[in-house]
Amino acid sequence: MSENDLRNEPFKVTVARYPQLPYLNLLKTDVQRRGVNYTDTVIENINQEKYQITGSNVFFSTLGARDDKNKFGVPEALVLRDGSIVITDPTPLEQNPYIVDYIDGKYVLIDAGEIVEEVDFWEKPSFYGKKTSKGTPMDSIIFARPQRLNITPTSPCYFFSSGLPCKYCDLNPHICCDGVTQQKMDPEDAYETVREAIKQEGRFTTLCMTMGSDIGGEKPFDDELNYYIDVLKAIGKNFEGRFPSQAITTALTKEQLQRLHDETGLMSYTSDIEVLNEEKFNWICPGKAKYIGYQEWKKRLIDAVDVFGRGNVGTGIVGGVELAQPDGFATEDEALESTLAEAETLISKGVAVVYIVWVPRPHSVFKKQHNASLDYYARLTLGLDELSRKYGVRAEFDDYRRCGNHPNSDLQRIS
Amino acid sequence: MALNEVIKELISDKESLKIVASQNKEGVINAVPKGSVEVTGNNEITYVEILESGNSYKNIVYSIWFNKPVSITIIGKNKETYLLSGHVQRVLTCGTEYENYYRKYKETKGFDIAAAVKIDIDSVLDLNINELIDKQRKEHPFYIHYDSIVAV
Repeated sequence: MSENDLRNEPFKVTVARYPQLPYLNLLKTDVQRRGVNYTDTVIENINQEKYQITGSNVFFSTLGARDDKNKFGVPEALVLRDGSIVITDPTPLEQNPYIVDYIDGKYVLIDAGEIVEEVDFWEKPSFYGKKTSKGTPMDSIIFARPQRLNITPTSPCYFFSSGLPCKYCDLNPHICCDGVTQQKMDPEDAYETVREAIKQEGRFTTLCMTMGSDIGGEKPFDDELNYYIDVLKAIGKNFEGRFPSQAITTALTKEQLQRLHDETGLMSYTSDIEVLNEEKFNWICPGKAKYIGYQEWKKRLIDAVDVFGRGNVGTGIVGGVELAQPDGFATEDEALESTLAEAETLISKGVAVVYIVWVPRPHSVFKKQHNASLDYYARLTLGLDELSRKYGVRAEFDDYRRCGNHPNSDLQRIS
Repeated sequence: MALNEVIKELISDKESLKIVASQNKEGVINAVPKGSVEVTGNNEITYVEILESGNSYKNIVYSIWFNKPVSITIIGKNKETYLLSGHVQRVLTCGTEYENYYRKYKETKGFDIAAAVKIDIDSVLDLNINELIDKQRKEHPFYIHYDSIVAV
């Protein structure tokens, strides 16, 4: 079967080939891969007081949606029956997305004309609509996932402004085209927002802070580091001691990592290498390659294990982007073999590796490309899960509940 | 199948013992008492998983992922016993309904909880031993020892 045929293979056919993977896990992956299209009936029936509807926070999934015209006023994302979440985006019908419809009082996912699963949507947290003492809307400071607070200060990425963006990323075009505020977040606003958010009992288990890379400072990326420290210190006033949390930063030196650990209550550290192959990394992430480099990025991740401890350090990859053309891998088999071999060099040193499904976003360099087959993602999920079990490296800080965007770390729920 | 009033009352009785049994991917059974079992629909029961790292929660997730059955044994204060078999329909880890269970447990027990689990009941078996013996004698007349049927 050609890889083009494999990419268009019916969902049920792929599911039948992987009985060792949960149906709901494969469905989640495929919904991320193909996107969703909401029917008018959904939009008309959605309870806007109860559910999160797409807004203007920079890291809202739908801001970079494949459907640039119909991305506002729709449910933020999905919840499946097993309690896992699906971060996905509105997608034009001609791209063959799943349909989300409202039938007999239930929201359902439809594929090839058949209902394949009942779904629910993310509920709105109680802090949305409130303001900080400075009058800043709290939902512009922090974006809520079902169990996680996302602190995403809207700062442009230096790699973009230096003309070397990661080719799958659309962060700066977002900020430019979607009218997202560029005002730097005030740490006190973050403190007050977290303080308000955690009044909702049972809602949040963790928080994640991430932003675009900032090379400035006495040493490269000191400005970025200092900002993380300022915000995390402010937020930390809400808790006693260390608190479940994740910072996703540019790869920092060991000295910088030590400061991040010692000066804040942060419990886990992530720096996304994005592509697990040096040659493809250099092509796809030229900014990261120029200012840090592939081998140095890996070294810093491994150094982070010394600082934060095994099981508290991770890296993310954009699954499937290594197949982008013209310079990516020619076949899915080659891509998988290389990715898993490189993943093992990190996992064996205590660095958890998680992937997201690559979505070719309309404002990214790779906008006209397509992602991999569900078969590829199934094998990537299984391969990374096997490695994490082989070396006993779990990503509990980045799992189905504390993140929800990584099909492979979802599998930790039963191991 | 719909639960009858006798079963519903027995489940609602705080003095009844409720044991949820599930299996892991190796087929190992985990059977643990769950005081939180309650009737939440005609054929639906809901209970709370407290430990996110516990075997019971892992097995329940395994059950919903791979459509494996689970059972709930109900033992009343007068030793009346029923075996309910079913399938995990939903694992609530977020949302209003989950938060309601969360608050209830936090207030009454002081525990954080992992999830609320909804199970659709497929069958109910009355485990009253006298009735089961009568049934076996009728349906399997060879399953008996001579000394039990010796003529007086």
